[in-house]
Amino acid sequence: MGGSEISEVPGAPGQPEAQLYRLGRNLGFISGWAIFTLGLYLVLYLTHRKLPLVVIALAAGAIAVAGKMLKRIFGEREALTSKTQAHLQKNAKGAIGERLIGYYVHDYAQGLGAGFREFGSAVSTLVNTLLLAVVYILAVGPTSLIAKFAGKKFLQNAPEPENESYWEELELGTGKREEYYRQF
Amino acid sequence: MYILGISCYYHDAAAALIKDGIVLAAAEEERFTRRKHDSSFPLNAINYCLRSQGISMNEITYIAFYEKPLLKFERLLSQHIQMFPRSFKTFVSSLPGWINEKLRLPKTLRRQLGYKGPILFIHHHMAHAASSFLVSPFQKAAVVTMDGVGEWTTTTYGRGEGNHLHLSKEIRFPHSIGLLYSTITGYLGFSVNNSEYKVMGLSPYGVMQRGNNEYYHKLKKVIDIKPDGSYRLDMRYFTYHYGDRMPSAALCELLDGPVRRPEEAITQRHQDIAAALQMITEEVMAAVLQHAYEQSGCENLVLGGGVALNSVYNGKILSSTPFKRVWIHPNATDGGNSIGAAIYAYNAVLGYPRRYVLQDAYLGPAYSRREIKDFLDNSGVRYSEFRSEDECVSATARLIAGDLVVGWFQGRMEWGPRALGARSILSNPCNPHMQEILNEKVKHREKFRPFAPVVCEDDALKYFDCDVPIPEPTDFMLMVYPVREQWRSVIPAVTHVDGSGRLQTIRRHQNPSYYDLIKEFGRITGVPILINTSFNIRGEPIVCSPYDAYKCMMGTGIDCLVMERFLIYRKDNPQHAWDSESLAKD
Repeated sequence: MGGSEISEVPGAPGQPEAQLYRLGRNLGFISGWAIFTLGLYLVLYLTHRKLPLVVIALAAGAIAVAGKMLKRIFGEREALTSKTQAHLQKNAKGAIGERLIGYYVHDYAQGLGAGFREFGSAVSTLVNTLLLAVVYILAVGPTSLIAKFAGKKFLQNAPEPENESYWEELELGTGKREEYYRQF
Repeated sequence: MYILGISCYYHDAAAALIKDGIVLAAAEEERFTRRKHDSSFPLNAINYCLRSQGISMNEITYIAFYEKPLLKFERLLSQHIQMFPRSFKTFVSSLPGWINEKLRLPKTLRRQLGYKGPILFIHHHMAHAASSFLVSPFQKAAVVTMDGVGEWTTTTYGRGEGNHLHLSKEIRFPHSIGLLYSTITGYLGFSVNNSEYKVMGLSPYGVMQRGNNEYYHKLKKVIDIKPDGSYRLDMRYFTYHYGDRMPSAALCELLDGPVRRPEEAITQRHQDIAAALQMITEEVMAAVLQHAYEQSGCENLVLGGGVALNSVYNGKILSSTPFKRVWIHPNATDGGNSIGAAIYAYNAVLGYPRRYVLQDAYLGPAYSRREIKDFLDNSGVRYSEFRSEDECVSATARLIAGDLVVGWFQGRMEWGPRALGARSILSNPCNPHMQEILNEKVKHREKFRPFAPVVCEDDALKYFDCDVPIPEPTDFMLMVYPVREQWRSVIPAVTHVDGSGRLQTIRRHQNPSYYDLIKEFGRITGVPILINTSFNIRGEPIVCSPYDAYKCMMGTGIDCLVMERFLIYRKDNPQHAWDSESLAKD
């Protein structure tokens, strides 16, 4: 085999595949936004609530931006599903020499898919945040207040110098097999 | 009977496969996905385990998971209820992960693996205990586990005998020496759950005398340690029980300054804080071990959990406690719990006798000559091939003696966070500039961080002031010992500022070519010691495949790569060169 036709190592910054991926990702995000807007417009049209397309587009954009900001605030880790993992693994570049045109198209397509997923993730983050905020205020809040009134403490937060020891009983040994089928 | 052990969803996802009580394969997910401390479901690691034995999920009798998810969820909800409304942010950020992933493990296993068999859930700290005791050479031992937190437990002690383990007492969340260490790690500007070992390496630069270190007295205010080793933290100084930032404003005030930014210079104050933290941690560990000894009456000790990676203290255990022997799993963190869960299921739950002792940590994937050659040829890499193992060893020894930095890629990949001669960067410890060369050109890491030596086990006592006999955890780089004074100026590159070294000892049966290489280097230079550092760019996991190794070499100052019997020089392949420095980060 002769010398390689490529001049860069895959995955390094500034490489053609990184730029194509970024381009695809941006276009994917915009495409997701466009499809979401059209979808909203269609739903509103079918339910006889007419709003200008521009207004819907702006609302969809605001939802996506809000979702992205919330993601940054709450630092939510996007769990890689096994399908995504398998996809990435399959497409990992094993042979540095094989930089055919097909791979460049492939990098762009990967970026496009990532952009779509990013838009969907932003919208779901916003919805999740609102729902969880409601649960937190309506369920966790009252439980906390009742516990405080009843003097129940779930965590011990301070040292107790008068105690001789902080060890607590555990007595954990081998139990019956059925106990290990339980998640608690 | 095949049992698959799995750990995932918190940090360091991993999978391990055992057959009839013998560990056949194990690997961390990060090595395949190339995301450090990857916590996602370890599909790649599982696939590797199955492929390595030529089996499918149909042959798996049990899956053992490393914790009880519902108990952990109970603890999380308790935190949120107790700390309402301050816990709002973590509630919103963490709950989706629980609902989508962590509470659906049986479904995930069925969907992604097609597995319909039984799943055993093992308590987190029991998995830690099992990962050390049940693969150790001991039939009877005191067991101590210490980590950040499992379900509720942060520290336990107990006893192991034969097939069985019994954990007697515990310390519960939020009181955790592991989380104290992580909090201060974050305060010093390093990444949590990743860089605690850097704080350990920084501590000798601070004042290591209790009376003279003002931060020791300050940090003592945040923890109350009882004579029996139990302890409790004053949670006013911490926020991890409700927030995403670990040091509180009160802690910053106590330590005379805000959290250090990563780009900020490390001052004497930071070094003294690191030293104070190390002294307090050692105090707690010593008291816990003393109490465990008194309660168990055993001369043998096994340690588990992430705090067991504190190799500075580990090197003092046998000289400062009544224990005569110690054993620590090479992957004492959550990743190692995949082995712990599987072996506990086999020996304790199912009741089969023990028949395995972990002698080495080479449990990951290996690549055949054919696979490596195909990769090199398909990629257009210029290389040469040694005709024999002896030629490979002697040529490599000469390259290292000539002050070249050599990437060494041999056999099965290591299990655990340390490179142990399968995926290592090797260089000459006698060159006084080698530490600088490695730090600046190859590893791109902080100047204060020392490099570690590797020495053959039969030469170790000549150069290092080790315990006698040399404890087995030294094979896994889990013990720090002083370099003997007369050799410190001879091997400056692996001698830390306090005269210590985190050495690896190697026995020939563990890795013959590595052993022979060190001996050959000793014949050439008179000093049978090498610098052994992990084969990776800073911020990336240790390399796994030939592609990873080649890419790492071409992006750094590594001069050449020895992959099995293939030799590749970086300078012969300029077309593949790239600069990894812009990517280097924690």
